[in-house]
Formats: sequence, structure tokens, C-alpha cells
Amino acid sequence: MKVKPWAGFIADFPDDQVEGGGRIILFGGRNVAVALAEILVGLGCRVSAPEYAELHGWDFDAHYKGHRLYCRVTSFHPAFHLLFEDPASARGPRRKSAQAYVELAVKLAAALEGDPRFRHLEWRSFDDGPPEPDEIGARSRRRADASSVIDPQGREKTRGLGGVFFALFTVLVGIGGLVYSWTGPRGDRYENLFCGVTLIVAGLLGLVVAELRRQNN
Amino acid sequence: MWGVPRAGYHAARDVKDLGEFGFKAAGAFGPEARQEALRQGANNIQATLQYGREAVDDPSNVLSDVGDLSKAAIKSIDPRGAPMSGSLGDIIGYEFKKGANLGEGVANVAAAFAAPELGMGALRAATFDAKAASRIAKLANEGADPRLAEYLAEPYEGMGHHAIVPRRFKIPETIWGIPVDDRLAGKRLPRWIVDSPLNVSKPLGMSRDDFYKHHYGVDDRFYGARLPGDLNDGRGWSGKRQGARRYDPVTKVWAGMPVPLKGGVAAVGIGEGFGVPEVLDQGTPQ
Repeated sequence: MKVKPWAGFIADFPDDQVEGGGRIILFGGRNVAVALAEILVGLGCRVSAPEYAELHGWDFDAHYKGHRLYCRVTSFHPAFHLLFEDPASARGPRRKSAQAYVELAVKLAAALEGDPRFRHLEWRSFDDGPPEPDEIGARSRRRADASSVIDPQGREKTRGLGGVFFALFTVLVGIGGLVYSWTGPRGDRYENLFCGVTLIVAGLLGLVVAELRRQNN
Repeated sequence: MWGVPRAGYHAARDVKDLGEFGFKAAGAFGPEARQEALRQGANNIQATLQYGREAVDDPSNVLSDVGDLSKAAIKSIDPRGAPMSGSLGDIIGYEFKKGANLGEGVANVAAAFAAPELGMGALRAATFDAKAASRIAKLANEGADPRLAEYLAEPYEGMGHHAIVPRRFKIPETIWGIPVDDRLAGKRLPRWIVDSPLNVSKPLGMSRDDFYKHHYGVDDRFYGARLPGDLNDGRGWSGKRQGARRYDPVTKVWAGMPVPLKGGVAAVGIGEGFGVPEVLDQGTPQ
């Protein structure tokens, strides 16, 4: 079972994109992001204020049952793309936030289907990506039910372990190098010492970055 | 892996040599040393200029040199030159050095790719205005109407792609089960880190169309961008419709790497004089 994080829909909101001199000064979608945040508050979330993400639109966090989930709205008014994902999904199906993510995704899909301001809602998997803006609502389609946000055949995978193993390997090589700098040829001692320390520092830094990226996708 | 910091070590040593050269050239070590340094400097400059001229006349020379560098690196790691004397320590030491040469060779080959790429970026930026008409014509040939072509051919001025720390990154509440201080958990990293040139990839001299395609290649969450309402019938720019491609994982890392980081890679190679003499000297089988 896997949540489909992408959605495309038509929303009946005024276009809040600001243009001037033939170019976009402020990308639109803030009003839709605010409306979605209000819906999520109604579903029991604590939300952050939407932040401007330029051509990506507007994004905000929803905290549900102690877990952080990420929402991003991209405007192609009147069509919109929504990315609703668990930043920790790289940690696989056994992560603590998995259950809360599925639960909230189903609730959100049901709330959007029941809200007359949002139409032609279509959920898509991460690999498929969102529907093209001009295709949203172009096909006549019966209303989807809330379960369409879940792919029952989908399997979540633990990702990003390669980076962790590579960083650990780097630290081990560095430690080996430090030993070698004392047992190896005297002439190369400082060179080997430099390399060993550099690799240990780089490996530890890499380990932290790899772990943080796994928690933030 | 050992060779990567070693390439940096050698580069730093070469920078130190360069400093000594500077002092000599300034006359700090007497008039004879100054004359010698100036003669050496003039020869180096002449050789560099000659290389640049040849590279302009025949760019395949650069590729050929990268090939030579790779061959030198391969030669330097050939295990058939292992010492016949026999102690285990000798053999381990020899193989260690071969492994280090391989790492250093890889670092230098990477540098040999990074340096021309930086040069091409700078050239693209310098000639951006002069090439406006050809960019518009190219987009028109691809099917864009003249106004859309003109818009997409303009320079991209927005934020770049956050390559290492994503823009949406927030400090987690625990790391490996260890709770993070409440004052830090859930907070964004400071802007000077997230928006640092070392984290944001925004290649030089790119038009909107170039950047959107570049961004589509490196960011799995970017599918398209909105355009001003009166362009492209309000459909926006779509990576799929433009036939833009997602890069494979390795290219994604390289293409998404911010220019100053690539500059760091290039600096290692430049500091090394692209490492050819070093690799050849150290790796010659005994």
C-alpha cells in the first residue's frame, strides 16, 4: 500500500498571480494553499504559513499526530498541482510516520472530493507525476472516491542507504589511513595523516547529511 | 578513495610552491632567483597560451588530453608491477599506493571535465546577449510562437535548484533516535546555508528555457512552470511536452552540482597541473 503524492485538480479561486512588464512577478497559488491548510486544520493538523517557492508555487507543512508532512501547490490557474508527501518516506514502510501519512492522505482526499470548490481531482503516483494542467477536467470522469489516493499494489522502498554505507566506508578508510600513516613509510607520513583526517571528517559529515536527507527526502 | 584527498593535498602543496614562486618573482630571495622565476613564469605562460590557442583551433585536443590522463591513471594502477621481494608489508604498501593513484586519477579526470565546463559556462554568460536572436530562432523552430520564444529566450533570474540541502529541509526531531534540542527541531537551516552558492545550482548564462530544461533534468519534483497568462494559451511550460529528459542518477548529481563546487573540483586538478606528471611519476611500475 502506497500513497499517491501528486494530485491535479481544478479550483474555483481567483487567479492571484501577479504579472507586470510581460513577466511573472509573483507566482500564484497562495489562496489555494491557504484553503488547503484550512482543510488540514479541520482534519486535526497544525499547519505552517504558506511560503513562496517561486516557480514551484507555495508550500507549507502540516503536522499530524506528531509527524511532519509536506504540501506544495503549483498554480496553472484554473488547474493546480498538489504535492502532498511524507518527507521521511525514504526511510521505508517501517518509519513511524507511515500510518499517519496514509490516514491523513485518505482524509484529505475525502475532504477535497466533498468540497465544491475543488473539481476533477486526480491522484497520481510519484513516478507518474501530476497530470498536464490542460488535461485536468478535459476527460469526463465520474467522481473519484477517497481511496483513489492509495495505490494498493504499491510497495514503499527504503531508499538512500547507499549514501549512509558510503559515508561509513569513508570513515573506516580514514581510520585505516591514520593507522597506516604511523606504520607506513616515514616520508609520506604527513600526506597520509592529512588524507586520513580529511576522510574521517568528510565521512562523518556525509553520514549526517545522508541521514538528514533520508529524513527530509 | 584515498587519492581524492591526496589530490587536494598535492594541489595545496602546489599552491604553496606557487607562493614561493611569487616571493622569488618579487625578488625576496635575491636577483638571481628572481630572474630564474621570471624566466620560468614566462615559459609557463607561453605554454598555457599555446595550449589555449590549440584548444580553440581543435577542441578535440582537450578530449585527447583527458584520454591521455585516463591512460596515465590506468598505467599507474597496473598491479603487474608489484615488487618481487616478498614481504606482505611491501605488497600491501604497493597495492595501497596503486589504490591511491586510482583515486587521485579519478579526481583529476573529474577535474579535467569540470574545468572546461566552467569555461563554457563563463563563455555562455559572456555571449548571452549576442546570441539572443539565435536562441529565439531555435525556439521558434521547435514550435514556439514568436512571443513565447522571446520570453523563454530571456535570461533566467529566479532561484536555482537546491542541490544538496533541499529548500523544504527542516531539522528533524530525532537523529538516529537521539532527540534534537527543541530550539532547533523543526526549524529551517539558516538562509545563508540553504541559499548558499555551494548549495544552489544556477548555471551561468541560462535562458528561462535552458533553466527549465536543466531543472527538469535534475529535480524529480519539477514537471513544469506557469507562464504569463497571455502566452502558450495559458498552458504553462511542461517538461514532458517539451521532450525534456530526466538525467540518470550519476548525471543528476554532476549536472545538479553548483558551479562553485565544480570549481573546487577543477581547482584540485588545476593545482595539480591536471595531475599528469604526478600520476606518471608515482605510478610507474618498479
